[in-house]
Amino acid sequence: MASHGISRSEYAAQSRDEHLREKELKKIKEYNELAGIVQGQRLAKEYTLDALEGTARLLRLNPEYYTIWNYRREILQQVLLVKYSPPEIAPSPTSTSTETDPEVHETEQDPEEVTKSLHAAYTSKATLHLKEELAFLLPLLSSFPKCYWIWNHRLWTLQRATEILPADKAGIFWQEELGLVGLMLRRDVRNFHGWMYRRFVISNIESPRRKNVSSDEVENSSSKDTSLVEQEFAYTTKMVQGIGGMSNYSAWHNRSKLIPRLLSERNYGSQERMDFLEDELELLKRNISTNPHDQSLWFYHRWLIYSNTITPDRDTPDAISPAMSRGTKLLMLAAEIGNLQDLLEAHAECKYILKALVEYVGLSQRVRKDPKDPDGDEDEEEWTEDDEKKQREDARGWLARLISIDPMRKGRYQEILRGLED
Amino acid sequence: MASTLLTPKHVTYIQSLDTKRDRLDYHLTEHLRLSGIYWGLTSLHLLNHPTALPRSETIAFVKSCYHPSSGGLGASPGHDPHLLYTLSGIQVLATINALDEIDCDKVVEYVSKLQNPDGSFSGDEWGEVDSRFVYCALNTLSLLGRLDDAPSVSVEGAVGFVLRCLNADGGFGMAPGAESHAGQIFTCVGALKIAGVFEKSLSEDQVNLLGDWLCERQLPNGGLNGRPEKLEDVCYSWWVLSSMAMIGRLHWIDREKLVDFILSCQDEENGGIADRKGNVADVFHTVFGLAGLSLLGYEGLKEVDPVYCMPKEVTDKIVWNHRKTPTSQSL
Ligand SMILES: [Zn+2]
Repeated sequence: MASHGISRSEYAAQSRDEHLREKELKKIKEYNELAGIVQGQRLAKEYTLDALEGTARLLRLNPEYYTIWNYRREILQQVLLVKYSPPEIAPSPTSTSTETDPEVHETEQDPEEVTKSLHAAYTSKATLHLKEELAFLLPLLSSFPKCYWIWNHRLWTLQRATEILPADKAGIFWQEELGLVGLMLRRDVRNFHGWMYRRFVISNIESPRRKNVSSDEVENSSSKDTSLVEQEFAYTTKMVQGIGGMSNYSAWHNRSKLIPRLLSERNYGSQERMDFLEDELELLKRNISTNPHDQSLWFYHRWLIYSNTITPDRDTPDAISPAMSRGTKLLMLAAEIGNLQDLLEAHAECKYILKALVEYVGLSQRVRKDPKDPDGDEDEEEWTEDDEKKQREDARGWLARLISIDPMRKGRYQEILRGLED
Repeated sequence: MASTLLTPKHVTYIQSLDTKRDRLDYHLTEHLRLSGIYWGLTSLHLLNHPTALPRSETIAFVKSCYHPSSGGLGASPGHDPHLLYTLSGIQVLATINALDEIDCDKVVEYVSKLQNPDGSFSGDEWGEVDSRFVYCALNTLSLLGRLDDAPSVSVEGAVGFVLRCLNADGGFGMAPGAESHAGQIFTCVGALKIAGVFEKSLSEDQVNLLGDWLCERQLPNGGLNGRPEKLEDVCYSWWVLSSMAMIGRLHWIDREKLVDFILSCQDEENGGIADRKGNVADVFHTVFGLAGLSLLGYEGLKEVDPVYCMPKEVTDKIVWNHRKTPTSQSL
């Protein structure tokens, strides 16, 4: 009903093969029988290990069957992952009146001790069941890495750990999960479920919580002591290089999301922020000069330039160096435009360079319209009307070249061109 | 390679979908059935064959997916209620003008209960949060005419959540912090449009960034991908294209090439449209292929509403015409 990447000719060949067709009909029968049994058990509100096994068999055949995941969670909640409730320890009827009975004195246990050991036994059993559940999911996740329901169920299982285990024991589960996400992302560096899941796991380690809330609430609430932002930033530094030199949009994206928090946790002042921005621009410059056709790099570059030059008319708290003066912004833009023009010499047909040039020239024109800094100590270069004219002329030239090398998007370029006229 | 739209084949293909019970995929996709009906029905409407599926059977099926206790709809009888299928069911009933067949108050109640304190919506009682579900919720409520009249729903809160999913590249992710993704962009822009706040929520810069991100999805073969460095796909072509239509940037891509790409994904023999040329067709890619062609102005197709992926005449009648500000005209 919604299939991806299945070749029509192969499917047709399968449909003609008598033997395969017979096998398929047999599979249909088996599948429907199993589905019927499991659905029947659910209707009968059967919460047993046998029913749990049925859901496992069915979900291995069809992990998209979300209702069965729901049933599985209902069973788990009632059978294996039940919340701990301390037993009612009735005060021993003998405890007050049997001072004289030596036997009782020997066997009687401190009720507090009893409760403690019962809880310990519960914890180790629950830990085992949680581990089993995660182990059941692992091969499914490997075979169906894009199935939402499996990721959901895994998250539910971990949240269940937080709900039913003591905090330190639950914490171990989340820590170990980070290892698994790392593995999944190494297999597919762009799996957005994987990246999403990673952020979720991280936020749970940073501030464990009991209820499934959206991740941004946690981002804001986690305290500095438990923050993993340094570790995660280092992770993106490793990942942006990609595996085997492949570009990685997801890692660059994640990096851009981490930086605002990173800088605020490092308590950076304006000079340190400026230095940080320069380092990022330098990193980009190196990467872009070796691989100017990598759009992930350009996305990140544009974010750096945009967020640090345009005074946001909406609250966009992601500028690295928000205190830059108009003059500094213009210098930064001029330097970047210069770099790009050099790069263009070697890659005259690279549309990303041309696009960036057009955009950054547009940005500097806008910044130039900003009011001059009040203290007036601008280290701004002289800017004449002729310079202005020349820059517009350049931009027109770049746009003309873009229209010819990237005709699919000529509507966009023509629009910018028209904007330059007035 | 087909260079025209094979309308009669597609109609037959959709009509025959429910007869393929001898194939395993038919059974393995029961968890999508109600959405499948919506995809098939919308396809037929766009193809100008609105009555090709029997109306009474369609209504009966939707009703069989309804859970009177909660007010939600599941994918098939015996499947649990979920926002995804609640929306599909309401879309089907709205399209065939049969919303009075179901207890709409109860549906509104179901949707309302799934909103979280941070404005987001969970897909069902199990709590998965995803910006897609905000779209499902607002879409459902608006089709029921209850967007401003669902007592416990905060549209403002929902909008706030969607805007927290906005990224620096102009796109939207499945949750705050998540990478931009064409499917998510469609639902987030759609949610803002339905709430009537898109124009005041994004600056001109942000709209241009978004438009740029979207138009860069077009690949040399004309098809569109859903994220940078991914392969083209008919379904992503729709999500990107409809988003471009919603923000008024449809002219930033090459229409002809996209039309050719979608046509090349048709199954010339049996009808239906696949994700890519030469692959097995399915009803999901069929509707998004047809809707894409309709947005591109392909001759002979009914006009599609880019926000709802439903016939425009239906959404005009039940949504846009009732708006104080005619949001649809700004599309
Ligand atoms: Zn697809």
